Amino acid sequence: MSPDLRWLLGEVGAVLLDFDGPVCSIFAGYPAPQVAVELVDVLRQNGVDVTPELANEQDPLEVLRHTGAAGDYRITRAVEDALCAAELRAAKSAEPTPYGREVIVAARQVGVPVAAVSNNSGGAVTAYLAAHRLAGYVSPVVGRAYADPNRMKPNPEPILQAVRALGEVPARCVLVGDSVSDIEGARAAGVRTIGYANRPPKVEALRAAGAEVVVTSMGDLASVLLGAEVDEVR
Amino acid sequence: MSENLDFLGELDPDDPKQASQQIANKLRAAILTRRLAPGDKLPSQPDLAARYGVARETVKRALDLLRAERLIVSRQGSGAFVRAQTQRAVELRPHIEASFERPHVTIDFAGFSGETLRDALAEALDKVRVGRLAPETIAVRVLISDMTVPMALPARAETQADDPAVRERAERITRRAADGIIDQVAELGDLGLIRSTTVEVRLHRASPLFKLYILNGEEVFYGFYPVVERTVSIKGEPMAIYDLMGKDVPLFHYAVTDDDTSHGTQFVEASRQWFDSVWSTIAYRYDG
Repeated sequence: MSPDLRWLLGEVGAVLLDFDGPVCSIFAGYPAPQVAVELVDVLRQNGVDVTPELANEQDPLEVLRHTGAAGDYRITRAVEDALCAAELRAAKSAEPTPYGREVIVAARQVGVPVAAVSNNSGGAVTAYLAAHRLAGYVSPVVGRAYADPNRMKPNPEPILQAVRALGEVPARCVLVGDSVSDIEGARAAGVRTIGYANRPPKVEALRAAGAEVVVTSMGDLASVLLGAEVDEVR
Repeated sequence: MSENLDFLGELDPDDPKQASQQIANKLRAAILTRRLAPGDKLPSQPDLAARYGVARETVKRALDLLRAERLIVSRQGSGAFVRAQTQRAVELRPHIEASFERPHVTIDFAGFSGETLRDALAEALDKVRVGRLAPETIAVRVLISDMTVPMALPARAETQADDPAVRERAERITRRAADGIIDQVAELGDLGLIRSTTVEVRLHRASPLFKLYILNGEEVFYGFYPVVERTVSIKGEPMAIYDLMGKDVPLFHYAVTDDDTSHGTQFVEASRQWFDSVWSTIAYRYDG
């Protein structure tokens, strides 16, 4: 196990988890490209002239970002609402990340609070956590600001919001994320960073973005958190 | 405390129970309903005797009953008080040791693994070894869940379902405890310090949800196993499991009293019946 990881986790008092990636794969059963197509349909229904590039976008969050950038708040809201509904549906068929639960439970066991900071809607994150009996373990849940995609990560604002709610200072928190925008947002917020590379090509990308440690399994985090914890007798 | 004692009621002349038992029942009810709160001083013996129109000796017998149930404590010269923490975890060890003062000791345990029993027994057996306790016979029955078959608890948390790896870990714990109890008691028998020792372990396929100790058939300790989620390391891999938490849970103590209708007597009797019923039906031998 990486000594850097042990060192880093030893220096922090709270863990901030990105949701889609470190906790689950939210679009596992309801593919993201399909959601993107549905959002593009919403744009068309609202009279937007959709470029071929946007029509081929696979990531629903990018469709939202693009819509927000165009500046029509009414249309941004329509896309936001459609995305929130799709994410809620997706949360029902989300696939838990291997050892994601173990990290959340182990952190709580050793007295380290866990928060979620997601570019997905807070409602979908909360629904997933509740359905998996984890709602009591993760607080706060900071989801995407409503119809304001500029405030998504890499904007540090949602990360700082979680840090404040935890009563911590940024330097004593670590964000675990699987995308470059997580690492960038965390660095801008002044929190420590762990990259979770759920696919091999991500290792280099996360390193390049400045992740202090990159892991390829959430199990590494759980094991380090557990550390010398011994089984109790009964 | 002598201000308003209406809650103490009056004796019922038609009640066939002895006056001391009637008085104990009324005081017990007052304690359990918190009209007499933890730490409160009970009315003095002369006050109670006057109130109920009985001899002081009768009141004394009533208080003896409550003391045996550990509801009250007496302080020399200042009277009787409601125990500060009537619900507090009771220590098992001193009671196990006390049970060894009888010539024929029987201990029945039902629960997850018997780790607590093993450790408590170790102390009592040490005293037998040095001659400070000298029972003639010891018979221990251990009734535990068979972790080689599918269980609802412990379970894998993610799936809320049985998991062989989770059970394997639990089985190691139960086996270690059961073997420990068998070895400890057998050793004393082998040394010739006790005329007869028997330890029998039986398994059943129900999940462990509570623990129960029956000492000499007249005292019971009972506690629940709350379900807790924990990440544990199984074969080097972290796994979140729904486990049972046995350590530090409060144990509730019940003891047989002279009164057949008392809570303590009835709980002990029901516990014995429950234990024997499982023991003699769905339970089967553990072969070590």
